[in-house]
Amino acid sequence: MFKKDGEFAEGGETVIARGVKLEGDFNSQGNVIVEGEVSGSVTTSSDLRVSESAKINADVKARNAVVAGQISGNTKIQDKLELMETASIDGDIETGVLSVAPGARVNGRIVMGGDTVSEAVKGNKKENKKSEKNADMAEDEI
Amino acid sequence: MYYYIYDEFVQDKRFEKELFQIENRLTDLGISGKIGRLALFKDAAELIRDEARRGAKTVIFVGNDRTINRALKVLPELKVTFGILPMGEEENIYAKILGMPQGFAACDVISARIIKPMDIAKVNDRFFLSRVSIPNTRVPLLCEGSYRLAPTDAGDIEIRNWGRMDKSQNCVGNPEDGLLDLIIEAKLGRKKAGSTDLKLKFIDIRVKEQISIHIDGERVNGNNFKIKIAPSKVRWIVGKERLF
Repeated sequence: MFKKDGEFAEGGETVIARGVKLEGDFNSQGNVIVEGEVSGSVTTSSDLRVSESAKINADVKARNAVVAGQISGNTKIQDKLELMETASIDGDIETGVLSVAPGARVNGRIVMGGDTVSEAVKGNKKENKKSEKNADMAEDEI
Repeated sequence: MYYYIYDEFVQDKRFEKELFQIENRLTDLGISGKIGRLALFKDAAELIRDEARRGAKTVIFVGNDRTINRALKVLPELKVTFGILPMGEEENIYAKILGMPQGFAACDVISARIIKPMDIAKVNDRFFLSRVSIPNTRVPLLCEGSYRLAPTDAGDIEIRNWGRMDKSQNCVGNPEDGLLDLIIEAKLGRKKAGSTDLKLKFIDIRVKEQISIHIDGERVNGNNFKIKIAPSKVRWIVGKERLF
C-alpha cells in the first residue's frame, strides 16, 4: 500500500526507470514504479506508481495506482486511483475510488464502483499465472 | 566424508605453516578428509566428480573465488555439500557472502555445518555464481519471453545471481530467492537517468552483431545468450556472518 506521499511503504518493488523502454506485456505480482517508457500492457496485482517522467502507451491494470505521468490506454484499478497535477490519461478509467488533483487531464470514460473493477483483478491474477507458467517451463530446462 | 581441494597457490611455501595449523584443527574437529591438489592442467570438476563417486559427501574449496570458478560446472550435478575455506589475499567475495572467515577461523564454521541450498545461474552452457554485466550498451533484453527491455540511449546492464559487494561491503543480490536481479543503470546523454530494477527467471539476448558480455568478470563474445537460474540447486556451508 502507498504511504501518504505516494511512495511505497515497503522496498523490493520493480522499477522501470527513466532512460529505459519496455515493449510487450509486463506482468508483476509486486509493487511497480514506472519512470520510463512502456508500450504493450502493464499488469500488477499490487500497487503501481507512474512518475511524472513516465510515458505509458498501454492498457494498465493494478490494485492501487498513483499517476503523475502520461498514460495512453485504458486504466483499470481495483481500489484507488490517484491522479496528480501532472497526470494525463487518454483512455477509459475503471476504478473503485478516484482522486483527481487540479490540473490532471483525463480524456475518456470514467466508471467508478466496486463491481466494475473486480474483473480487473481476476484478469491480473490470470495473466500472472500465465507468465509464471512460462517462467517455470524455462526453469525446468536448466 | 570430506574432500578438500587445495588451489595451486595455497601449495606455495608461504602458506605451509597456516595449512599445517588448519589441517590440525580439522583433525581435532573430526572433519579431516582426503586432499586433492590442483595443478595447471588438472580439471577441478573431474577431481570432484571422481571423489563424489568414491563417496565424498562434502567438498571444501581451499583457496579463493577462482578456485570455485574452476569447478562450477560440476556443482549442480552432484548431491554433495560444498564449502569454502578462504585463503590468500585475492578476492574472496563468495566467502564473504557465505559468511566464511579467512583461513584457520573457517574450520569451526565448516564444522558447525549450517547448510543452505542456494541458486546457481547459467549463461548458455556456462554456470555462474555472481553476475553477468554488459557495460555501456543499448542491447535489448527479452525478459521471460513476454517483453523487451532496453536502454533508450545507453546504459550499464547487470544480471545478478549471488550478486556482488557494494562500497559498504553489503551483498547486492539474493542468492536464495530463485530469481535473477536485472539492474539497468541508464544514461541520457552523459547524465545518469535512473536505475531499473527487476526480478526475473530468465532473460534472452539475441543480436545480429556480436557483443561482449562479462561473466563473473570474464569477457565472452557472442550473438545469442540465454541467461537463467536454477533455484536452490547447490548446497553450501554458510557461517552466521553470511550476507543474506
